[in-house]
Amino acid sequence: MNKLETKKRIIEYIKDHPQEFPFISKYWNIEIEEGNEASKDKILSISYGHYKTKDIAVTPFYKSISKIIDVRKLKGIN
Amino acid sequence: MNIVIQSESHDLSTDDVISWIYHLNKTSRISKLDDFTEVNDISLEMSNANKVSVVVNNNVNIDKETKYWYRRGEFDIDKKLTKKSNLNRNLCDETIRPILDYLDSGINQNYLNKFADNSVNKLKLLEKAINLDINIPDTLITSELSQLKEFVTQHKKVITKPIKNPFINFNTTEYKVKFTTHSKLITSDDLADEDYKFLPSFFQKYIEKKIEIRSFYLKGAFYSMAIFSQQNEKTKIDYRNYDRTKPNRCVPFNLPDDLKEKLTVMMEELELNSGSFDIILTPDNEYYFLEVNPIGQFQWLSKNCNYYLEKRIAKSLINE
Amino acid sequence: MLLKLFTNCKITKGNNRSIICDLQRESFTYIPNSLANLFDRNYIIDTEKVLAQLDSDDKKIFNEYIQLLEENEFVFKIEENDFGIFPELNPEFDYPAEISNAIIDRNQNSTYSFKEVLNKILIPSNCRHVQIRSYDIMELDELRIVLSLFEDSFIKSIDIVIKDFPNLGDKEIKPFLFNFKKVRTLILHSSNENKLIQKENNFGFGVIFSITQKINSSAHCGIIQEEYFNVNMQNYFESNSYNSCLNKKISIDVNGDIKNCPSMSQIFGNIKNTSLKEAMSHKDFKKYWNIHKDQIEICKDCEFRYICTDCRAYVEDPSNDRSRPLKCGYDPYTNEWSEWSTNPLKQKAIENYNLKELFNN
Repeated sequence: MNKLETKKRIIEYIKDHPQEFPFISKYWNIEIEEGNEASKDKILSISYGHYKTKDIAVTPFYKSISKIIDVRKLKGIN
Repeated sequence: MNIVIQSESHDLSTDDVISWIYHLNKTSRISKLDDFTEVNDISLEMSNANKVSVVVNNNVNIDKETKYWYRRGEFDIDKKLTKKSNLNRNLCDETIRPILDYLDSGINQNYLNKFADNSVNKLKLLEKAINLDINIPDTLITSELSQLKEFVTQHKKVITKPIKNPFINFNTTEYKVKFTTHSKLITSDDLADEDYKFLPSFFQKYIEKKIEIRSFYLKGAFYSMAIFSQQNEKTKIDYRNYDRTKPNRCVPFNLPDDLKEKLTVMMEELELNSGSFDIILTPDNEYYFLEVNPIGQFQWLSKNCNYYLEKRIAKSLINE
Repeated sequence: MLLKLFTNCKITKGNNRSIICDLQRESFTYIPNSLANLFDRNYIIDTEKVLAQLDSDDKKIFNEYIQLLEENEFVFKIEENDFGIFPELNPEFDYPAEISNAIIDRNQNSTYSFKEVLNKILIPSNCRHVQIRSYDIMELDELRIVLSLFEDSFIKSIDIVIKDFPNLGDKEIKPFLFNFKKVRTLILHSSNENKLIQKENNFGFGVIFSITQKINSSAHCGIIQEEYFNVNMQNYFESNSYNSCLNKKISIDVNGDIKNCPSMSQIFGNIKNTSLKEAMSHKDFKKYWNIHKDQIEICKDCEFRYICTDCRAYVEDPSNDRSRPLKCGYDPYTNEWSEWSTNPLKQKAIENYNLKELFNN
């Protein structure tokens, strides 16, 4: 059974068995993911050395460190 | 003196706080307990002289000088033991569980938040607010459509929201399923059916908003932010329905002193030294308490209002 | 009707016009100085009061500007009772590091090691953002070693400007960079075309460009362009009190010399034999850190002064360290941009800094 079918089944089940769910269940946003544990760890691929922290996305600096590139000459390829 | 941080390995706020710790005090020693920490070895000593000292897994030391910050994560019993048999599981419950529960309750009073804060009861919060004369929206918990209909007749606009977490996860054989929702306005379509039962659900009178307020409480001080969510149809009912192209205006805010005093009493009675309040200011200038989340996000509040909360937390952990 | 400016919308007045810097949504809008002056010291405009004093033509213009302010959500309606509940933003700039950003310059004669830089400079100062600029070819293997070193460390982001590899094409560059998630931009200079090789890989990181600009020395730095304007809260508050380029910056030049910036002449030691502490305790190390735009000639009258960059290395009058950046072609008194390199008033400084070679490109 693929994701879409699974989702449909779940929505139907909730509709047919309201007594098993809270009232708000009809408004639930339903997300379905492959049951693969490894996928999440693969994404947390950025680590920060002695800080012992990790991240999914990297944080840029809040400004340009130096202004050595003539950005004007790059107009049109952005 | 060392600092123990219990968190998630990918929590950005934790990384920010660690930056401040190392910057403010280069000699800080930080031990991290991330995500699920399986406890394979534990030793604990108590005495009047040395208060409580704990050594977890032979490498994390907690003593009377240690500052502990609980942000996320959990202590787990050694999986090998619990998988063996019912007897082993029961033995663990009897012997190891109480020790972990004790760790979860925060030790030596040198902590910022504790695991046990996760289970603060939302209904208890509302009750405390009532007892302290703080406005709350009229609330109903019921399993019957007929009772809901009466409530809606009385209050006209009613919202429903999860009583605990906005997320519920469960697994099928193939998939992981995640249910999410925040607040939803009840419409007449919802009330059209004949009476039927559902699991006890949480309903509140919808309070008109001038602005929504998020206030971060840290050891007696309040850092508040006003969220102007009413101009945007997307965010009007629940500001968490973020509009990323035109974010709601978020600016610093000052809560009135008398409300701050009452909220401080609430926190002290709940034994919480930190938490994030959700408050509504109505067009009639009345403040309504919605909830306090003992362990919530503060990064966007800190950034939007230039409060440097990560620095403040770091300072409280290095004893300043 | 009382309209209050949101405290994260900051008005900067220039000689002829002002801008509103929207620090939350990170953009700016032009407004006339006359409108800027209508806000009182609590950043409130009393529209009734103002309208009462205007003739019908001006009334129309005023109403249009009010509409502009409201459409952009720069203002909100406030009641007199609410004055105290909306405080101003804390204007303090602070940062969890003695050094927030570092430039590491490299050429074929450089002998210092990046490991030295990481252990002696970056970790002790808590510096997590670096830019590597290589004026000559850097072997891919050497680059791989450097990037692996940084990838495993606490470094948060790396920007790289290096000479284009003559024998390497897009097919090799992209997979090479794929493993180095902390590289924000990789710019290959002295290339035969200006090309966007990779748009991004990972939330805006991993952008690869090749450019024809022949960056053969640090003399190319110090560019002032609208494209470098930066409207965000950190940059804005830093610019108010500190030098927007040099504050909390350290550089290692091609010789391993420790400087504020590779384009400046003063040396505070060499990475081989000077510790961070020694370098930073030199009385001149932080000399330029507190020089902000309100203290710089011409810039102080410019509406862009808190969102622009600065350059103390190349200034219009080398004998005056408060003169404005040499490479700025904007005139806040006419609101016009012109080419700085051909400006006759700048030729003396260009010679003084030996920048003539830049124009042989």
